[in-house]
This record gives sequence, structure tokens and C-alpha cells, in this order.
Amino acid sequence: MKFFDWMGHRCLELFLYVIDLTYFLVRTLSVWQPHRNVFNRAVYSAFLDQLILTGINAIAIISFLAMFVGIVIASQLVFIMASITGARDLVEILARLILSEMGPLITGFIIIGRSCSAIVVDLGNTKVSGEIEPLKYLGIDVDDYFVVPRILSMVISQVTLALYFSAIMLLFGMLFSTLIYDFSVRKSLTELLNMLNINSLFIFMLKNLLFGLSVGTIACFHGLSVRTSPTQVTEQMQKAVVRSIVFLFLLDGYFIALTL
Amino acid sequence: MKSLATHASIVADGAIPYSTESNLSFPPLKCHIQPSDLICLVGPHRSQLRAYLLMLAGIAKPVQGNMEILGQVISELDQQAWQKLRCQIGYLSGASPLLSVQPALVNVMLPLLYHVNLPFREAADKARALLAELGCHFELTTYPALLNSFQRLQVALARALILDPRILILDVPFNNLGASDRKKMGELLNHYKNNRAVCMMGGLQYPLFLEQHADRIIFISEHKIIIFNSWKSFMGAEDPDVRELLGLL
Repeated sequence: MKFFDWMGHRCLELFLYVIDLTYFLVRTLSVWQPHRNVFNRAVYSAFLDQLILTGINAIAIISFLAMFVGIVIASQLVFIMASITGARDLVEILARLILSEMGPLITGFIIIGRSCSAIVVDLGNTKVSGEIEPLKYLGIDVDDYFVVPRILSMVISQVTLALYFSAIMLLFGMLFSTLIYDFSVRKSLTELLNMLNINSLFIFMLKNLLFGLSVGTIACFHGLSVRTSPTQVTEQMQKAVVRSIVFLFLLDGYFIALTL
Repeated sequence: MKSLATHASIVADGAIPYSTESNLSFPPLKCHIQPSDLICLVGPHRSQLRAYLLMLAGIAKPVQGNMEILGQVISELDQQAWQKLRCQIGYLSGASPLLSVQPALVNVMLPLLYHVNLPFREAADKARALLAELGCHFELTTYPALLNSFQRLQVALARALILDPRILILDVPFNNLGASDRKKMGELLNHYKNNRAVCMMGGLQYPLFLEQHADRIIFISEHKIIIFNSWKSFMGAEDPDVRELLGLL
């Protein structure tokens, strides 16, 4: 009986969490409300700061991982495909795997590890040290100044970094494949470009946009959920990271079901 | 609703604040605070004083009675009007927590960038001028963590004054300051009091300032509110609760 109590409690908790998170996102993005003021230089400056932290500073690690993972995936695929089809469909499989799965997911994980945790710690510490309250008393909206720039930069970073990651990974994957097999790089690239269409690009963009939106929202929500104790910062950071990963997989599953 | 007193900056008419921090009882407050008035809230319970200060600042709505700030009834304000009103009220909080991720100069520029949307250069020039006027002779790109408590207070005061507010609300401005810094802070507050209603909480750490500049002392305890018209009358009060508080000085 206790088990069912526990299960019921957890389900209710999860349901309320999703409602809270959705309300938080809708409230934050309701920038057309008369009391909101997002089009000003304070918000713009905060947005640029966040874009540098989340996006530009991640380029080095993204490039390294893209090269490395591209080579690893290509070598494994070549090995597997060689025994099945003689690596005829390698480009197609590589492109499908990288564009629809690996690129968005690995970028998402890097962003969760680097920026989601950083946002929770940053917002949590700002709240614990009472730095937000005086700004509210000066008429500065918390959602405008703290949340909107972070979510927006997270979305832009996820979309652009995933695109960059996928391109580098594909390129290095194919280059590596040409070293092992007698592939023509030009032919492989032409084949790849023929495979890309508006529909697949749209789904890729939408998927990354939703990834960025969910990770950014979860990070800000948990950062601002910190009350008065510094111990809550680590607690909320753990929750944010785990829940972001869960949301990432749920969204990914949804897109897989959508594209099957 | 008709304005209670058009000339007054802050009017409390039997207003009782709401507080989540304290279980104390709150007697109704009735007072008019005019421009250039310096009012000091004193009493034995800090959480109680804070609740009254937040109400007088228009941050918390009264649970009973009326609160009018600059001719606007607080309980009738919508979010947009409330936000506009905040630009006319400078707020300096006790520990003066500035944004730790931004340098001192950006902290001061922030209200200008957000509310007025001034270009960065103009906002920086204005912030620099105000900081110089306040006697800030340190590097303005320093982060708050590297400033001492008086320097942080100077920056926080500049941030509160940057929009040229008509009311200045101060939450224990002399806390954590040494004797010479208290004197400097007192001089700054006196200078920036002109044509502004200044309402502060605490201040008993620096009685000389209250003696010289306070226009009224409002004593607030659980059972009563007594308004004194000068420091002298406050010191000469015979009320046992006031005497008990003065005995702690």
C-alpha cells in the first residue's frame, strides 16, 4: 500500500511540476503585457552576456567533440556496414544518425552540463544573497532582466551549436570514411546535400529550438526556486540537470515518433 | 478615489502592513510625509519596522487602511502603474546587495538602461558623474565583492538616486559602518534630502544624524505607534517602551 501511496505522490508531484513549469514559461514569454519591458539596453546587454557564456564560449569544446565523435561514429558504422551492405548506405545512415539524433542530443548534453548548471548556480546565488529584491523595488522586472535573456540565448545557442556540431561531425565522419574506404568526398557530399530537404531541416530546427527552450526554462525555473539557503542551490542544480536530461529524451522520443 | 493630501509625498491613513516574516501585531499608522521631510522609523522589532517601511515605500500593499504615494493609492495600482511609480522611489536596502556579476558602474547604470533606455555611453557618463558627486574615488569597473561596505553603500545609493527619484527609502543605512563612514553617509543623505521625502528605518546607531536632520521619529512597537516631531521630544519621552528602547542605546 505504501508503494502505491509513494507512486501516487510522485505522479501528483510530477503533474504539478509540469504545470508550474508551463506557467513559468508562459508568464516569462508574455512580453507583450503592458508592465513588461524587454526592448531596452539592460536586457540587450544581459542577453549578449548570456550568448557569450552559453554559445560562443562553448565553440571550442563543441568543435573538439564533434571531430572526435564524428570519427568514432564513422569508424564504427563503417565496421558494421561493411559486414552487412558493404558500406553502400553509409552516407545516408551517417547523415540520418547525426542530423536527427547525435547532433541535437550531444549539443543538448553539453549545454546542460555547461550552461544549465551555471544558470541555476548564478540565479540561485543571486537570489540567496538578496541581489534580486532591490532590483524589483527599483521597478526592474525579474523575468525581463534575468529570465528572458537566458532562455533566448539558450535557444539560439542550442540551434546554432547543434547545426555547427552536426556539420563538423558529418564532415569529419565522411573524411575519415574516405580514408578507410574508397569513397569520393565530392560524391558523398553531393549525396548528402541531395538527402537534405526543407522538411528535414525544419524538423532539425524545431527540435533544437524546443531543446533549448526546455533546458533554458528548467534552468531559470530551478535557479529562481532557491529561497534562502545556499544548500538549496546545489539541490536545485541537481534537479535542473536531471530533469533537463529527462525532458531532452522525452522530446527526442516525441520527434522520433513524429518522423517515423 | 480622491487624493488625501496632494502636496504630501507619502500619506498613510490608518494603514496596517502585511508581513509574512513576523507574527507580531501591527497597529495602524497615520502620517503625512512631505518633500524634504526626513522620517525615521524606530522600534524594538526589525521585522515589524521592515513591514512598515515596505508599505511606506509602496512595495507591500496595506491589509487595512489607505496608503497614498505621490498622489496614487497603492491598493488601486495595476502592475504597470506600480512599475512606473517605482521609478520615482529610490530604494536603498540594508546590506546594499549590488549585482555581484556586474561592476559598480554597470550596477548604477542598470535602472537608466532599463527604464530610460539611454545609450550605453550616455548612461555611463551620467552614472560616473553621480558616483563622482557621491565621492566614489575607486575604480568604477571594480566588482562589488572587492569594495568595502561604505563603497558598496555609496554605489547602492547612486543606483537608488540615478533616476532622480522624489522619494528615497533607506533600510538601515548606517548598519555595518564605522564612525567616520557613518558621518560621511550622514552628510550624503543630508545633501540628497533636498526636495525629496526621505524615509529611513533604524538610524539609532548614529543618533547625531537623527538629532540634526530627522524631522520626525516614528516609534513603532507591537501595541502602539508614537510620532515624535523631533529627536529631542523622542529623547524626552516618558513612554516605558520608548525608554526601554533608549536604554538599549
